[in-house]
This record gives sequence, C-alpha cells and structure tokens, in this order.
Amino acid sequence: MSAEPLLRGRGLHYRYLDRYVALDDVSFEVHPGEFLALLGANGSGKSTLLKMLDGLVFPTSGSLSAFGESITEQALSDPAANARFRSRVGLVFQNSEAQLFSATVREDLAFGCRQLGLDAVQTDQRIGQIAEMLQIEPLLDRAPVHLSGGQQRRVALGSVLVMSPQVLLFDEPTAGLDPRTSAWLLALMGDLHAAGRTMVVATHDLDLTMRLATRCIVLDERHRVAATGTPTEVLSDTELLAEANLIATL
Amino acid sequence: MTTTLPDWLAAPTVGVDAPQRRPHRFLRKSLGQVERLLAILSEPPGRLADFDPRVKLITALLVLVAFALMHDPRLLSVAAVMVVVGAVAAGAGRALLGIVVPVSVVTAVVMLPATTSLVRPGTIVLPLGSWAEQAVGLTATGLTGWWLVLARVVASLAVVVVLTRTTSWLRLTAALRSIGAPAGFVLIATMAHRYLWVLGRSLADLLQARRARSIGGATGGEDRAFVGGSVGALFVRSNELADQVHQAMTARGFTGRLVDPTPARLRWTDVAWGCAVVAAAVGLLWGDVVVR
Repeated sequence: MSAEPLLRGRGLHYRYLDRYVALDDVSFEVHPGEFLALLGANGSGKSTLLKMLDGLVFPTSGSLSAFGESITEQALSDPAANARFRSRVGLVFQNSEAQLFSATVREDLAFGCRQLGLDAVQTDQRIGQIAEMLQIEPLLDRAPVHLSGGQQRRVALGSVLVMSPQVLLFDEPTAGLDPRTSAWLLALMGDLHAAGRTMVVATHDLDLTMRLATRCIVLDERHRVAATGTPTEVLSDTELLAEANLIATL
Repeated sequence: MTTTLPDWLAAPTVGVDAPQRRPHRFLRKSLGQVERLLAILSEPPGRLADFDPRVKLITALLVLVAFALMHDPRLLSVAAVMVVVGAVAAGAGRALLGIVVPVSVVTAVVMLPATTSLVRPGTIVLPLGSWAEQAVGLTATGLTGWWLVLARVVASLAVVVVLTRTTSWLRLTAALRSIGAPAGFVLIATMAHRYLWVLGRSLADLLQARRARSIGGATGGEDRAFVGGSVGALFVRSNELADQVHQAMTARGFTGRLVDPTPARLRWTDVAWGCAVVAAAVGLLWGDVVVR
C-alpha cells in the first residue's frame, strides 16, 4: 500500500498495571480507507492495542504515531494536538455499558457534539439524525444503564459516530449481539467503510473478518504479531489460526 | 441491508476544527488513582508473594510483638534497617517511601518535646538554655526514648508494608481465618475485595470512555454533571452486581451457612520461612536482654 499510514506503531510493549504483559514488540500500520481486522484470542492484547490507538493507554516502550504526529501522553496534553487527534479517532468499547456515562441517552450523544464545539441547533440536528439512523429515537430520554445490551451497543456506537471520526476503532463489535442486530451492525460498518472511514476492528469473529476486512493482523497468545495478510491468506492458514487460538483443534 | 448515513457522516472527513481547550488533569489524575487502587488489589509480584499468607501473617504478628518488647534502640535500629532492606529487595521500596518516611518524620517531630529535660528529666547532653532558673536541654534518657520509638515505628511499619505489598488482599483476608477471624468476616472482606475490583474496573472504563470523547478540559458544571452521572451509573451497577452475586451463590446451594474450605497444606519453603522469621525474632529478643 503506497499511501502514508494514518496510524503507525513500532515495537510497542505494554504491561497492564506495570505487571502483566499485554503487548510484546507489536509493530503495524493502518492506511487510509482500509478495514483492518485485529484477530486474536481472549487476552491476546487486542483491546489494549485499540485503547493505545485511541490514546487512552500509552506504550511502556516503542513508538506510536497518528496522522504523522507522535502520540504520547505529553503530546496529547497540548490542546491543539489533542483536539486534532480526538476529533479524528473514535473508539467503540467492547463493554457498551462502560462507555455510556451520562444520565440520559440524549446527553450521551450530545457530549461528543459539544466537544466538537457544535451549537445547540447543530447538536439537536445531529442527535436526531444519528438516532433515526440507529433506530434509537424512543430511547433518547432513557437512562443508558437501564437499556438492554443491544440497545446500549447502538447508543455507544451513536455516541462515537456523532463526532464523525475519520478512524473508527471497534472492540469486539458483534460480541453478545443477537443475529439480527449483529447483521445490522455489520452492514452499517460496511456502509461506513464504503463512505471512506478507516476501520480497525478487534475481533475473533472470522465471519466478520471474511466479509468486511481488507487486511488482518493476528496477535498470538504471547501478545506478539503472529501474521499479517489479506483475509483470504490469513483465514486459509488453519495452522496459524489454531496456534493463535482462533479455531479449536480436537 | 443498507443504512442511509447522514450527509456529515457519509462524506469523507479529515477531522474538524474542534475547539482547543487544555485537557485538564481531572480525568488523568482520577484514572491514575483508580489504576493505583487496582494495582494494590491485584496479585503482587516478587518472590515473597509465593509464601503461604498464613505463615506470613502469623510471623509478621510475632515480629511486631518482638519489636514491641525490645528496649534497646541500637538493636531495634539494626532490625529496622534489616526489614527496610528486605522490603526494598521485595519490591516494596516505593510503598515504603510513601508510607514509612512521612509517618517517621511526623513521629520524630511529635516526639521531640519528650527529648527535653522538661518532659524527661535526666543528664542534659545538649543544653538549650534555662527556664524558671533551671537548665533546659536534651537529655540522654529523652534522646534514647526518642530513638527507641522512632526505630520501633520504622521497623513495625516496614513489616506491615512488606506483608501487605507482597500478599494480595484476597489471600491476606483468607489467611485471617488462621488467626481465628470469624468466617463471616472473612467472607465479607473477600467479597468486598472482589466488589472493589469490579467497581474499580467499571470506574476506570467510565473515565476512559469520557477521555476518549473529550477534546479538551471540561467546565466545572460539565465535571459535576459527569461525576453525578457516574455516581448514579455506578450505584445502579453495584446494586445489579450485588443481586447477581447473591443469585450466583444461591444457584450453587448457598443457604446462609458458611463452610470453611479445607486449608491448603504448607510447603517446606513456607515452613522454612516461618522458622527463619521466628528464629530471627527470638534472636532479637535474646539479644535485647543480653545487651541491656
């Protein structure tokens, strides 16, 4: 791929609580407009890597850059760099309940709009459009904590989409969803990708990967990159998938 | 199945001119504090963490009693230095600095008046002047007492820090059964630990979620609204968690009667450790008697 990468990690190491290795010498690139699937078993470091790409945790060693700028805790303390980064990258958490912190769904959707500096009229307009798109209009005045898992997932997605980020990060987007909601979500992710969004999805859903991804990175259970390639290349390598605990061998 | 995206979402974007506000330290500090709490609640690293917590708890109590019975400040100082060195070697150096140093300084300052002839009469070794026609100064007995208390505080605190920083809370509370703590108390303490862990993780997730969508620092009102919303969300979650835990216990046959698990057998390394610590404590007490 010739385009300059949007996100680039080099030799990333991370220890959770300064103790447990979550990433070990991980290097990768994310190019504009691609749909990258981060494949790995539970505990392989996918979620940590996504949080790192969203500037929520920072590598113990190694370097991370986004849009040509270094992403460090110190760099993001600069208001201009922080505004550039946060308005361009959005993360949909695996645990939707944890992502929603406001008293009502409307407030949660409005939060991102206000962060972008939209006025009240623009904010209301954007909330209305996103609620219609995600079919959550009847939920707008309800408390997020009282919604079902599927509803929370839609609201969490909406809370990120209202900010219209260039890069969308998804952590296990289809986990725990019923088949219809899952199919709807995959279709929406395809539409967002077709509209030019760059997508990075952490998953062990091989069906999602085959249908939507343009490239895959496999993290093994030693928290290292085991392989990269197209979905066809990666998913046809059963030995690799078994070793990374993505398929079971009996 | 296709979804019609709003125009602003369908168009490619390269980021917007979001207002630049200095990212304030509320979220970063709060996250740091929650992570520190989680680190304390998690399994500690190091070789000492491998020893049986019952042995560690009982020997720590014995050592504390030995320190309380010792009266020679020189010997107690040697013991304090040994424990501090052990604590640093066990990886508890930072905790030691954060706890022992401030407490020791406060103790030293609070105890200062007791070094003077006004409080502890005796031979003045450092004259300070006179008051009411009597010489005032630091006395030998006062200074010895001051030294003794300080050494005892440092040594005792270091033992407690080593014990708590090399033993997970979960194992420590379970070990309380070995010194006769009621099973109900231990169960409640164990569940409180689990509850704090889950709540801490939830709180960290909430703070990260907010940080992920925060372009700049929030106003006081926004912060208050966030804290209010978070408290509400956490309250609902904690209620649900309590219900789920109760249901899980009921589903596995819990009827309110606590059954003690069979205690794990001690390994030879645990016994060796226990013997070594007891021998050291007895040696210190014997030395204290001989020196006096």
